[in-house]
Amino acid sequence: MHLKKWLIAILVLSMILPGCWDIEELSSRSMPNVLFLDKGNSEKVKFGAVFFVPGSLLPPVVGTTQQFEKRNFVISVEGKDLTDGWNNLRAVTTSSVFFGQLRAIVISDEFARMNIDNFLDFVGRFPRMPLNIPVLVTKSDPEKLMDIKNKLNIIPGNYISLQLESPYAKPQAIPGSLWEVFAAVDNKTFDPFMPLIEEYKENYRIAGMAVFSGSRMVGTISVEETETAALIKEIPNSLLTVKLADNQGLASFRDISSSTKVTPKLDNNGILTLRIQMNVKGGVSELIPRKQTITLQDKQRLESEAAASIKKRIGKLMSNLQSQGSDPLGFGEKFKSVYPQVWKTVNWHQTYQSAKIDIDTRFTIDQTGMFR
Amino acid sequence: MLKEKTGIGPGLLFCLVFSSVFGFGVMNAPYIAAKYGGPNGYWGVILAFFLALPVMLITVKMGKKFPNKSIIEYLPLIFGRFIGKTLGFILLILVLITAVWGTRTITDLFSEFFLPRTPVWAVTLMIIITVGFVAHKGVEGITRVAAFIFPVALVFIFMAVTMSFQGFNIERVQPVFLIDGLKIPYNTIQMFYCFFPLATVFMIYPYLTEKQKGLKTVAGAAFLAIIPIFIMVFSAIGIYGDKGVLRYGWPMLQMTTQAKLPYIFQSFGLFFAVTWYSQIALSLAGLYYTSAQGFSELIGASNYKWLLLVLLPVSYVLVLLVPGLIELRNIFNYLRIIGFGIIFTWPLITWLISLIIKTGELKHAS
Amino acid sequence: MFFDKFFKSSKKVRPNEKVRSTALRRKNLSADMNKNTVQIKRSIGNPADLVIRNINDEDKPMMVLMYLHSLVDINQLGSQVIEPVNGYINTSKHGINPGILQRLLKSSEIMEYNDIHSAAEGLLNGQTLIVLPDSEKITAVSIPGFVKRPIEDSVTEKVIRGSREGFTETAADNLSLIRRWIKDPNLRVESKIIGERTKTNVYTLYLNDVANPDVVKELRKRLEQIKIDGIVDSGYISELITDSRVTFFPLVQDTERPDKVAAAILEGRVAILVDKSPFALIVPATSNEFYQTPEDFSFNYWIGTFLRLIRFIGTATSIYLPALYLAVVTVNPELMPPYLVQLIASGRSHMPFPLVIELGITLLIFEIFREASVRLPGNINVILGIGGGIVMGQGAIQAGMVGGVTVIVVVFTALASFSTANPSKEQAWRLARYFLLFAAGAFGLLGLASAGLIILAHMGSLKSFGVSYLEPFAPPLTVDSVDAFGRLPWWASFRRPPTYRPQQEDRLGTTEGEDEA
Repeated sequence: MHLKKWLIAILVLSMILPGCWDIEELSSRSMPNVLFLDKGNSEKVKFGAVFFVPGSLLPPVVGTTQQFEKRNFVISVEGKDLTDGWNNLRAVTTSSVFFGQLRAIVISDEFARMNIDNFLDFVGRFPRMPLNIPVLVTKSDPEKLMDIKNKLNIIPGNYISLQLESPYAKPQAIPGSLWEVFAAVDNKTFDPFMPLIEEYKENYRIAGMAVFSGSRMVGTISVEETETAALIKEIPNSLLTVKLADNQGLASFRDISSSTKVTPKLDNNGILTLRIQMNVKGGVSELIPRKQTITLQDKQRLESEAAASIKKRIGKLMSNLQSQGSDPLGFGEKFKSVYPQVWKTVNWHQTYQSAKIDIDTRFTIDQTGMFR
Repeated sequence: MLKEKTGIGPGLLFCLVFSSVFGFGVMNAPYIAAKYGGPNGYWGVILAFFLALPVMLITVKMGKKFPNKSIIEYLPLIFGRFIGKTLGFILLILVLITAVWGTRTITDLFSEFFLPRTPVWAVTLMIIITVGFVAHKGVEGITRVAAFIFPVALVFIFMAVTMSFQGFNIERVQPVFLIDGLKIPYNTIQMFYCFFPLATVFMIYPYLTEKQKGLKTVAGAAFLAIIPIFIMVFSAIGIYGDKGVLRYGWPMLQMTTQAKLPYIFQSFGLFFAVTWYSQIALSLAGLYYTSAQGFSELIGASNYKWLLLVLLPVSYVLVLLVPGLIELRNIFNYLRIIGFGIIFTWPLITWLISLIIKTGELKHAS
Repeated sequence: MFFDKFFKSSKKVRPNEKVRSTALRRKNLSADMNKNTVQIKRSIGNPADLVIRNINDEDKPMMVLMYLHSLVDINQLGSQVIEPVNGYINTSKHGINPGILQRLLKSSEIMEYNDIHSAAEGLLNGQTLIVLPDSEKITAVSIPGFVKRPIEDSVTEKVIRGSREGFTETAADNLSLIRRWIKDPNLRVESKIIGERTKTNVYTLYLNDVANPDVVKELRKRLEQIKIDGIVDSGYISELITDSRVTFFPLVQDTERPDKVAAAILEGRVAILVDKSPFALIVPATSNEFYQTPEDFSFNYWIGTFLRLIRFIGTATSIYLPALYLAVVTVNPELMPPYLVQLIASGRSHMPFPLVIELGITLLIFEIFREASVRLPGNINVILGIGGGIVMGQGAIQAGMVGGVTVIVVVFTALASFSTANPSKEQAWRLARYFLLFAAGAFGLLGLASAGLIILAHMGSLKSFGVSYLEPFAPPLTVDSVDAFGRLPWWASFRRPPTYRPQQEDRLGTTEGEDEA
């Protein structure tokens, strides 16, 4: 009986006595919505965050004007390194900075062209940093970009997150989550990539993709090239516009999905050929000039022209990527899975840049919409 | 029905073995598998299970030879009093160190991830008291808690396992049948650490009421526990790549924090962490109970409960003696090898010697 | 020193130690009628409601009637005793002896006593004593006439579909209710008097060929060991026979419903009826029993299953919700969806109190409301509920004293707590909720998980008359645990739950499959 009393007393005390070191009111935490990084003016790093105005994220109340006020504000500081920058940020905010609800990270292209290893190391060590948030690159000043009040008056992190979650935005903004960036940099079997974001009429727009070689940004690809890359990565819901031969007009397709097979093949001389076989299917969305009915011959012609167009696009994309020495599409992984022993001995970027690309595409029209 | 006696049925033992193996094994499984096995690290998990099967079989056979006797009690009968007790003592020290290591790992994880400002001693105190309270209830109490939590935990575990395949890339786990020197055997030995909690079974096997179901129960539970571990290792390597996994201190948690149930929870990983905590707490409770019961049998004390109250503060001190996570990881490197040596080889040698010198009951005990 | 006092055993007399009543001693009756009368009168202290009626034949005393008018039906006394006796006296010249009296009396329950003690006890039990001259025996007639409550619907366990009878304070009436459910000759009813001063009738009911004999034996033993001043309610007996006194979880089930008791007896459990208490006790009791109601069996098995699941979810929600809310808002906000976090953070800006205080105070206020509402008259209850609850709550939110989400959590917790079908279990979870709240407040989700594990370990170590409290989940009994979460259809329930180790597992009779006509 005594034993039980002692145990119960210790138990109860252990729950209460040690105290509540980690209790912190939600409203007194400074929760950055977006973290942005740039090259500093005077110091090495510019470290900033977007916060929401306390009390502003409530549902709208009829008769009040609160829902029309700007809901976000930006604080940016400079530091010698990221930790110094974080420290300076903490000095400016009224309460502890809590990254557990971060929605996006935006880095400037200047910053990205420096080595992002330090940034990844810093960000990854935070215990509650969400790993599935997107990392984006911008060519403009990230501070100004994040400080705009967009038309929907949604705070920037929520806006970006909503935009990138949409299945129809994915082909243009192939999601490059933080954990994928880590995986790329660690495995060295593919290179990181990040959507490019810019302002467009007081809203945000995806403007292509930033491509990296290792942990440095080396260039960008356009929106059209990003869509082609999405096809190779089998991301559905693309759109495609094909200029028909002999000035016969245009054909546009929607809900495009692809299945791609990439086969690396090394010949005896050690030259790599990457064979890309792609089967694409989609529905007709627009025909210029309009057709009453798409006949079987029309279908075949449209399909072959679309296939040719895709092939041309892939060729163009690959030559762009190879010239920049960036492999965001994961060909290195395929090579490693087929030639694991050779992988250890070669420099992948060199091999990749000199690889031949062999493309075979097929296009199938599966739907014509509400018209024939 | 009302007579006081300690006995556990196969169902209870099944749940305890599952909790123990899963809770303990899942801690560092992807890291160890990727480090020593590379992209084929998942093979180590499967082969480690086959390596553990003889241990389970021998436990059952020894249980038949020495009914109602735990390993601490029959070691002296086989090796003689002095050597038998020494071997028993070393085994118990291993169990205690394993429990201390497990406690410190879970403490560090929760301290780093959930409670960064709470001092380590406070988190350790809370965990040790919780685990100690469960262990204090004895084998019946521990197994009943395990049985009660089992269905819920199983659902959560398999949900976490299924949802954590987001971002999986098949090329990262290929080629599947790559033989790269002695990587696979060495990886198997390293992955055997998942079965260290089988030491609990050495001690509590005499309490099993339906001994004819012993092997099926223990092997079945271990197999069920290994399945999610295997899937998690497979998916970790497939998502992060074998080199990518090595970046993380706790790849399991990182993987499950990615798992997203849209509109319900931001990250399922925290629920998984709570489920996992319940499993590891049961595993640790089993190990602490084993060491208390073992020591009480070794020194001839009647009640393990008093010994448990002595062992818990000792464990608390030992847990806090480790200065930090880096030292803890270093200790684990040695613990895996020593543990394999003891948990795998000793039962085998014990059984062989018992066959040679023909001790124990030859017939099946009623 | 303070801790010494707490941890050392008290040397005071404990309830189970024998406290013998000094009121009555056994003393044989004499042949002197007056002497017997005086002795009995003195032994019970000549109470104000004692009536002593002499019946004489002219001047010759024939008998003395003694009764307590607060316990006896005067009309029945007249017609069953006084009238026949007077009739006999008028017509016969012989005296009355106990043998003649037996034939004269119209009552069906007649006893004879040889000593003062028993006679006085009989008088106090509502019997009418007939003291005869020249007789060393006293005849007693049972003509109860005390006020009793009629059979009404159960107050604490209401159902939509099911019997509308509930137990009353009269054990004999309660027994009759059970007998109307179970007409099996194997139903055993054992009676015992417990309480030195209250002399409370306690009945034990079980099926002789179904109930586990070990449980019956153990129950008898524990009832025998009770040495107490008085039993005012069945709760006293419940606490005195319980397996563990440290726990706040009820290990003895209590119910106001006779259909529940009948069902329990049919399963092989043992029921205890206590006089002056409308709550019957049932042992053994597992945790699962407290979530089952007769309604589950009145509706079809789909509905029954759904209702049980709702109860489990409601109970789990009421226990964990405040603690979970506290943990995720104050310690681990990364768990929540971002929009919810932003909404709660916006709603809680400039709150005067930390959430743990706010939650504690709101829960306390709700507990006070709940306690007060039990004693309020019905018509004021509604108005106060609206005024106090809704208006005050709204006012507090608008004044910025508490957050809207906090009020929602507290109110939902309070309402969900009533989904636990048994009041005793619901009260136990009420206490556990605070333990979880403090643990979550200190250590967040880890504290919540640890506290939950501790409660579970505690429950796992409990036993009720040899049955593990967490059965059928732990130890796992597959069919029984499926039946615990849902309700098996009758065509699949041909066995009694093995949880209580009944002597016969097969229920009698066959049930047709549901596809057959």
